[in-house]
Amino acid sequence: MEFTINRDDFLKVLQRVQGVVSIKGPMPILANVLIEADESGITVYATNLDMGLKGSYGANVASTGSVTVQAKKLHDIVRELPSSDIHLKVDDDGRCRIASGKSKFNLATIDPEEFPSFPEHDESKLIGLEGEMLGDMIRKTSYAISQDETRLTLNGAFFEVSPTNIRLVATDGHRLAFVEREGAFGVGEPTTFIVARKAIQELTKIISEIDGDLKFLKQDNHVIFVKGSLRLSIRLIDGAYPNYEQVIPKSSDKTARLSANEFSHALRRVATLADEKSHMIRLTFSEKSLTLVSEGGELGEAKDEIPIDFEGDEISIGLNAQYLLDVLGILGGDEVVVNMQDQLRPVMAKTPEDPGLLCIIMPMRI
Amino acid sequence: MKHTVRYDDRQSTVMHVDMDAFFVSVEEILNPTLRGKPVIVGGDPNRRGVVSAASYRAREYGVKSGMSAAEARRLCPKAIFLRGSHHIYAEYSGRVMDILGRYTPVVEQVSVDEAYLDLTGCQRMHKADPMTIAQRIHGAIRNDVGLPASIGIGSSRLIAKIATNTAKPSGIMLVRPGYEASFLAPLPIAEIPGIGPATEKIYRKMGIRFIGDLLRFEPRLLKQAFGKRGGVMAVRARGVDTRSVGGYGAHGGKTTPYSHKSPKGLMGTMQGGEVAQGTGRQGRSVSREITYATDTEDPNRLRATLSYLAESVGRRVRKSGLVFKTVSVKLRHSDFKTFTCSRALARPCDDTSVIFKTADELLERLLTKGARIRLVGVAVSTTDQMTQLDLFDSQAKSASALLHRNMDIVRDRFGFESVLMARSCLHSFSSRAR
Repeated sequence: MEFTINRDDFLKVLQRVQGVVSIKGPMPILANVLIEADESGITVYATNLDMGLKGSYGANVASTGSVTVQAKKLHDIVRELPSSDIHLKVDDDGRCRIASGKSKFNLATIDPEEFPSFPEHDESKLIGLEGEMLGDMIRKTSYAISQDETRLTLNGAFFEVSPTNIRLVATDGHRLAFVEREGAFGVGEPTTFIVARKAIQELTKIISEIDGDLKFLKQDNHVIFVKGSLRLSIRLIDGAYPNYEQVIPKSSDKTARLSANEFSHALRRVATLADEKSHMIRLTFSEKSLTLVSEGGELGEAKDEIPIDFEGDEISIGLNAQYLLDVLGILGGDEVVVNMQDQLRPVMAKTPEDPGLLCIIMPMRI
Repeated sequence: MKHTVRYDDRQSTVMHVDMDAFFVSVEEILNPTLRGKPVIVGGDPNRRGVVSAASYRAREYGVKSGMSAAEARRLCPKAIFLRGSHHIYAEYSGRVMDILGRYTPVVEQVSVDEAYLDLTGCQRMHKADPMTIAQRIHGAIRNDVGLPASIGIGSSRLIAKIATNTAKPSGIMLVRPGYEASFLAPLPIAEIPGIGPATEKIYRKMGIRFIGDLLRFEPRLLKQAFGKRGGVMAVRARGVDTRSVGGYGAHGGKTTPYSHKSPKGLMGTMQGGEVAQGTGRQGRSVSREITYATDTEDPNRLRATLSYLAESVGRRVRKSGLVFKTVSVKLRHSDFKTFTCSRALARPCDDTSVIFKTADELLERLLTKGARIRLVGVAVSTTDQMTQLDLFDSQAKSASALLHRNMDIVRDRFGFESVLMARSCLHSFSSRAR
């Protein structure tokens, strides 16, 4: 195998796969990147078995073949080379020789036969998605993905695609983000899957960095996303996602409308003295105003009040200030609508500008 | 003891009532031929039993509660060893506490045979001074229950407790307000609760043998030498003790205030000891542990004990209205090597089944094949922090949480072992069969 490629292009390719190699895993081959050369160019593939990223790029191929070399070392070498052409060749002795100008490198390789294969899939079954829309949906929900590794299924975002709409849900048990968009999706029947947090990050990257249409296909225990010439395979989180619909409040007899900006500033002020561990503040919604109180224990207390438009009986509720600030950051817009039932049931925040977006927070016991 | 001073109702008056050789005295009621003989209630001297109580006759041979039964038999070969029947002791204890409850609403039972009473403001009601009230209580316990008790009276818990020790056996001792320091001064420092043999040794090295010696030291110096405890001791030596008597109701004395630490080994192998550490509500640990009569390597037996302990700890956590966030397991091998392992929970809760499930997983980790286990303990650290509620908890707020709450209700009426998880029964049966 032998090819020549532009250094800057090659570096970009190698940077992209760094996130999916497994450097310290039990299988040394997973620290490597598989490079295959054919007449049309090269294909670069890396995987840590949870995710695999494969892309095709243009290169001047002198002879076809394949090789695997350590992804990080190859990246480090290419990064240090000056901006010109790089010549890569695999010798009969199995060494990978890299040359650029007077610089020469000789890298150990592992037999490409040992490299895991990218999941086979039927190109014709790929289903189109709007990349920009999905990127926005991810941005509006991923903050709520759980970091708690004991709740495995919550460590990812839940996708629910039906012929007429797509939903994305994330929750850590304390709060839940839900976003729904309408459209025509070529799925025969509703399909659901859970994508791990790390894979969501990679997906976000390829959505924003790569040109081309976004398509996906769920098969067996993984899902494949295709954008342009890039393919991302993701092993799905196995398990039942909790019944999120059950915790989305269906009705509410207490509704507050308030300025998102004022709310956010008051929260920040009062949160300065909130308990450092729980971040709890007490919110009292009454007819004309919202009172925010924090009790930082020995440190002191803070109180603030802002005008609101409120329907329902007065209610005092304990909430994590940080969760509220996260929600306000996501909702955007001038006005925020807060729906409540009682002290112990979920609070829902919405913005009139995006009816498909719901942010739900579970209160704290006061 | 003669007394002339009339207490007024504003004077803080604490009474400490302690039954004399309680278990032995009860045994003597059940079997009067035991009277005057060296009787020891406790574990089996042929195994690793511990002395729970010794009659005064046995004490003459140097037998003390807490020592191993085998050693007690060496000291007093003629002693009559009884295994003890704790449900009977509990019944007698309840009768004594009922009597105490007639004299003041504020009764804090600190163990099966010991209680503090706050008599502040009760004198007018009884139309009597504290000494007379003490004599009435002493008589009532003697006549109605048939048991000897010792009573100490003072302006604080500390004074009352030490006065009782001075009054034993079967006496009443009253320390007049204002005379606390002079009462304490000639007593050995080990009389102050909390000074054990180890601390006593250090004090002795400093030339402190009697409580009065402490007065010569600046509290600041004691604080430097012994930390916070030292500062407390300096204050105690002056007879000052601001701890109040917690009123928990006299009936059955089922609530044990957590500030109390039951003497280690008092119950020996018979009940296992209960220890609660710390005083603040937050981060307090609730634990129970059990020493087997014979070491075991049977994982089923260990699991049964774990389940039993989990039920006991869970009940206590719920009773104090707390939730727990960490579960720990302690294993002591036959060679006394002790291992502990704990895990923080994702969410605080008060469900017994979570304690068991977590403890069981920890046990799995701690258990080495073929190890012979002597002691098993389960502990949880609690929190009363404003807890973040969980969206999906209502689903998890399952049958199991509800079940344990309902078991609590049954136990409140009929006792802890009236209802048990099936897997705990193996422990319960095997310990009864011992």
